[in-house]
Amino acid sequence: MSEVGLTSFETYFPIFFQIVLAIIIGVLMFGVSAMLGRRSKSRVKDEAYECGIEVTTDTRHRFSVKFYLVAILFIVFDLETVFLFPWAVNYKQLGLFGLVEMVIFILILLVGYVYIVKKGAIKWD
Amino acid sequence: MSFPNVDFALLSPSLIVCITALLTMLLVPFLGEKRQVVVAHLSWIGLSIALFAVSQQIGKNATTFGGMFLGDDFSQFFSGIFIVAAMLTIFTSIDYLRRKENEHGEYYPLILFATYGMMVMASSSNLLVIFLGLEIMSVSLYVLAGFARTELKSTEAAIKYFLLGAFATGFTVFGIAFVYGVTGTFDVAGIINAAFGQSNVDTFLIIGSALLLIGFGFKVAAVPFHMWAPDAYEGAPSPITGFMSAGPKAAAFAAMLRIFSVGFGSTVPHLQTLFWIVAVATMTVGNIIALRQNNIKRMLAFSSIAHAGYILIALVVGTGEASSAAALYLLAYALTNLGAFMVIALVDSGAKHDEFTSIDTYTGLARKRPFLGLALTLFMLSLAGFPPTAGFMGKFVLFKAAVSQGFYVLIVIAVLNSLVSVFYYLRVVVKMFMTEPDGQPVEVPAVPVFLMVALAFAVAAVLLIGVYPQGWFNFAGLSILGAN
Repeated sequence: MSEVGLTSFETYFPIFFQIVLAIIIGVLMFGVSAMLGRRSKSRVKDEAYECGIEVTTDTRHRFSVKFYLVAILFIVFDLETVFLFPWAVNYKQLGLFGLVEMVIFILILLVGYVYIVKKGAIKWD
Repeated sequence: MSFPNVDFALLSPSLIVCITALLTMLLVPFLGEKRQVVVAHLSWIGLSIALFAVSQQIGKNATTFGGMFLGDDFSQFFSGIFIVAAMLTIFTSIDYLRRKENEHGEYYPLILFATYGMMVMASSSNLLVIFLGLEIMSVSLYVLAGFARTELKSTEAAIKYFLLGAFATGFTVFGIAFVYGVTGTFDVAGIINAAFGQSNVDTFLIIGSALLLIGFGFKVAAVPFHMWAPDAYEGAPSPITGFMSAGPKAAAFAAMLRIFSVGFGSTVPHLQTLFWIVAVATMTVGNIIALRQNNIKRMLAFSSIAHAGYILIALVVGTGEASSAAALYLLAYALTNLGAFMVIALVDSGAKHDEFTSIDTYTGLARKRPFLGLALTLFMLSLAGFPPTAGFMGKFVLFKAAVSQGFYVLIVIAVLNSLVSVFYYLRVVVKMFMTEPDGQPVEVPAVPVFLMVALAFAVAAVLLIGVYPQGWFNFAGLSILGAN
């Protein structure tokens, strides 16, 4: 693969060695502490640790699905913006071709935008 | 930068499908709840224009987008399969959705987007473009599988399909990354050039090919990557199950044929053995588990796994003849399965919520509805591979291509498997013709106009390919660009 004529397996050997080392260290640490450590169990110990404050309710609340919708729509239009930046930087070189490409790109997203607005996905109530 | 020279005529079929999908999706929220069926009609009109566009591009064998998009006859043939499959699915769905009280117009643009993805997949030998098509297709199908939102089974199908599909996508991308890392190119032709003539093949090319095999194996439901198929097929709305077994399977095989058979498969050692093992395992496991299924959709899911095993023979053989035979097989299988699912969807739509999908539902069906019974019998015979049906012709040309290369053991296993499969296909026929229903027989709705057209088309096509295969086979014996 490289100028010294190593096959790709040989170049990856240090990584392989490191994985083996990591596994050995991990097993060793857990193994030793499992063998030597003392265990005592009580109800207080099994409770969830909430900075020392007593637990009042379950952590798993139900959220309105609208949060999810807004989040996913945000990602779509966020990515659109991200794609606009490189075009803006190279606007002069890309010229009319870039403009046409970008208009098509935004038109496609516009279809989606009109769709979600009309469906009422952004309406909160 | 000047405008690149893009051959829009060559792109026209997929562009038409994509634009129809966008416009119909835009239309959905503007139509009232009562008029969502307009979207269905616009969709099939758009698809028929695209089909016409495909017919105009046959024989051109050109490329565009700098070789990233291939408009060869191979891709036109598969585009034809996808478009016809989508149209037949839409015709089946119009009445099905109405009866299930699930008439949401988004259903049809999603089918169109999936079709577009498949067309992209079949029309490129660039690994990245194939991946792009694969994702467009898969994401649309995840949604379609869960389209019956209020049904628990449909949701389960969508979740399982999505999770395992996304997992498989990871394998595909990882495989592409390895292959790119070794050869420095995404293009199959470039990969062949880089891999050929090397005295020892790079280990990572083998790993990359194996990962690609796993990724695509998931998509075609090859054993041992088939676990998602029965649940996804059972839970999805019946017309979508038919679509899933016809379109995406053909698309994944088209991409596999391009990547492995025409592409760099022969340069990678052990890959043929791997395909041999997967093919035998797939057809055997699929057929044997199908024997014990009592739900017809589940049975056809395992049957679909078994058929994937037969088609994998083409990848073992790896010749051009075998690729063409696989293309013909996929056409025959798509038409037959879509036809079978038309009848299944009709029977299923008799109930609003509980699904009539048990094989017992078909008890005595042929006595009350002889034509429906005959049609389903024809499709079952075609799936089992009886002459003079399309299924027989597909198996015949495929097995012939394998025998001519000396794969006798493989073909003996495949033929024995076909024999096993006859049992469960004919079980449905026996139920329909020879069993008296005990108690109240299931009320099957009258055949609506569009379903009638689709059913007549499927029956005619299955018989036509079975009786007169020459024309189809000549068309399937098509030139494949990509190795140039």
